[in-house]
Amino acid sequence: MIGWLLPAAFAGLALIALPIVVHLLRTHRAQRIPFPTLRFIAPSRTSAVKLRLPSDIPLLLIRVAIVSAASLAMVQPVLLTDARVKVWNSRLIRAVVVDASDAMQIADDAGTKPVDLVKPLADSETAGAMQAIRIDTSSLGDGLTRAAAWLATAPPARREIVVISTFRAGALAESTLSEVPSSIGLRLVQVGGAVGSRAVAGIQPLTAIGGLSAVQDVQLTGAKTTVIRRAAPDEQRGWRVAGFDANAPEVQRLWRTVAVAGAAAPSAEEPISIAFGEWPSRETVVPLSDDVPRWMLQTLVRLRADDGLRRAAASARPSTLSAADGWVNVCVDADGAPLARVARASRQLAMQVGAPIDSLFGAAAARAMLDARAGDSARPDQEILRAPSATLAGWSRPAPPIDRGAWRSLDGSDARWLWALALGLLAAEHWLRRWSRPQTVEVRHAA
Amino acid sequence: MSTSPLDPGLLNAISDLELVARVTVDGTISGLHRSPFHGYSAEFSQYRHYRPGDDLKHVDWKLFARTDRFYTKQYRETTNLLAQVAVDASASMAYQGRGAVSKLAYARLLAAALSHLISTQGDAVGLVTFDEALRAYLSPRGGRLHLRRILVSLSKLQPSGGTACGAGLRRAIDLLKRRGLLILLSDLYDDGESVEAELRRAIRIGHEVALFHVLTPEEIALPFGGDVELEDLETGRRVITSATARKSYHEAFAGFLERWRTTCATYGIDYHRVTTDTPLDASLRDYLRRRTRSDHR
Repeated sequence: MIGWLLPAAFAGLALIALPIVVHLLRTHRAQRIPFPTLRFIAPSRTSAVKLRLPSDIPLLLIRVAIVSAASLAMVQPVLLTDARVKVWNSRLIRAVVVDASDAMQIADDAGTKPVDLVKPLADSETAGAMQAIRIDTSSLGDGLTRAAAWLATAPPARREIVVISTFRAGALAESTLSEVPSSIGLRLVQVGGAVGSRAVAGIQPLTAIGGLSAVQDVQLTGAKTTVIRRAAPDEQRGWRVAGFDANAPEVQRLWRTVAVAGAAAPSAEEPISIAFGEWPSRETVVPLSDDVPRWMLQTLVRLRADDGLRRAAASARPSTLSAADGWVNVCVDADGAPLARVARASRQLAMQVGAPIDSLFGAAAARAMLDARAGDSARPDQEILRAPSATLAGWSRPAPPIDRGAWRSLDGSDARWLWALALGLLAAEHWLRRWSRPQTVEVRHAA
Repeated sequence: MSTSPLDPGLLNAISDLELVARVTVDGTISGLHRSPFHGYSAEFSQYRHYRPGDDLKHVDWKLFARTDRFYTKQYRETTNLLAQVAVDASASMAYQGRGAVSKLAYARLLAAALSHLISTQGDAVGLVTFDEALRAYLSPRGGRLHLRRILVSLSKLQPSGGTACGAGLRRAIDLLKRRGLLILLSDLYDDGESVEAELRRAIRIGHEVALFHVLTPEEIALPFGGDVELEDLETGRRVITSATARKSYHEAFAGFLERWRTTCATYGIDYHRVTTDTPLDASLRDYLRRRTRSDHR
């Protein structure tokens, strides 16, 4: 069986017509030969230049064969012999997806962190394959997609995805696995031991000034989750409005508005500042560069993904801010002017809002900033429930033999043989052309 | 291509025509028992005893009858042979075909060899060259200096123009003041009637005539395949012809050759058809052998 990597190049076979047309239309000029006398020559009813039928059939056939070989070579043929398929089936290409989520950092009851077990496992998996790639990801679904995409471009061989994870509950769904092509084997390697129970700090909601603040204590025990709300002092530490006194009426109104709308409480360890209008000139801001605390970057990412803030920006008045260095835009108004932007001010994450403090967008920006700093309240990575081994075994499948279309990912083709044939035919054509050329009779004035 | 030591191509490559002529003649004469050329007026000188190898026609049979011994008669030559070599140098003689030499080169070598042979025998030889007009003429004379003049004239010969063989022959005949030998080297692509008339005139006067019909193998065989455009070397006229016309060419050319062979036989002209691929010594030897056998004296 022969496969063709570039079937569209079959159109090049139309070039076969070229030598035929050339042979048909080639004008033939009679060779001019000096001769001593024409008295015995009977003129023929012919002209010096005329069309003629392809008379040199061997030459024509060779030329057609050259064009055919070159055209077929451009189609990139792949000869699928049993031996070649057998060799391909003996190879294994593996993508190793390593769970890099926070769940891998949770020590089991024996005190072992799963992340500490990953390296030797991943190394042995990659070493046992003809080609391998290691993909570290905090989302197994995303890792599987990337692994499948890489394997799709790999050379012909059996393909397998190995997932190394704790397989906490919710990390991997059957629907995600079903998106992996059936031509790819799947092996799920569970690392780490069972975790009986663990306590997780919950999200602290923002309360209005003067209201009762609360702290959530979350206790995970097997499949059971216990959330205990307890009263906590409301220190309002960790956030401020630049240019205003903390007890200013505008600040108090903003605080209440945001608290009623629902937002996470600020943290003294991760302080934020918000300026409505111009940033105080005495406070220096610097751009968010690589050395900023991780929480600042995470906050920026979450801010940019905040749908509520984007919706508020759509209906906001034109921004009062002008372009300035050192700030990273979070959202812009209809004219492209920054409505909200962030920078670093000492150990604080600073936000500059191009709207008044008592505007809707101002409140939306403050809420978004608080929520973005606190992060996702779902905390899926803190889950201690793990997928059962039987379930993982049911999801696993061995790497199947290569399918009929696996040769399409072959890096090279067998076109070189056709190119060699074309070159050989070209040499033959050259030889034949020289051989068949009539020898000219020269008149040498040797006298 | 011939591999003979006297291959025309090889000889043509030697610029010294005198050397070529000598080499050719020396290689040809060896093996011939007697001179192929004779004077016409010989006077009896004396008898001598017959020696093996002597020509029997010189044996005096009457004396044998009287004395029962063989004696051969010896003569004292009073006059030498007069020979005039006429060489056609028309443009058609430039044709070489696939051979090593052109017809003119071959004719020149042959003329040089014949002139050398005749001159070294003490006879007088002259040269006439012509194309559509008379190009050069040298009256028959003996001597080494005159031979050198002939060879120089031959070596300068270049092909050009049409063929006026009749006029050249007329001049050559006129230069022979008494009976002699007229040697014509040509491809005879001329008005046949005028050439024939001049040859007849030469015979009538009493000259001995030798005609070397110089051709190339390609002219005889016309070995061109497919359509070719032939260009006349003398007139520049062009004719498109094809392989199908080859048969009619062969017939016409065979008729041309037969006509000259018959004409020469009719008038007692020594006709030699030579092709440029024939070794020069072979052509010369063939001519001399036939001449010796035919006893032209």
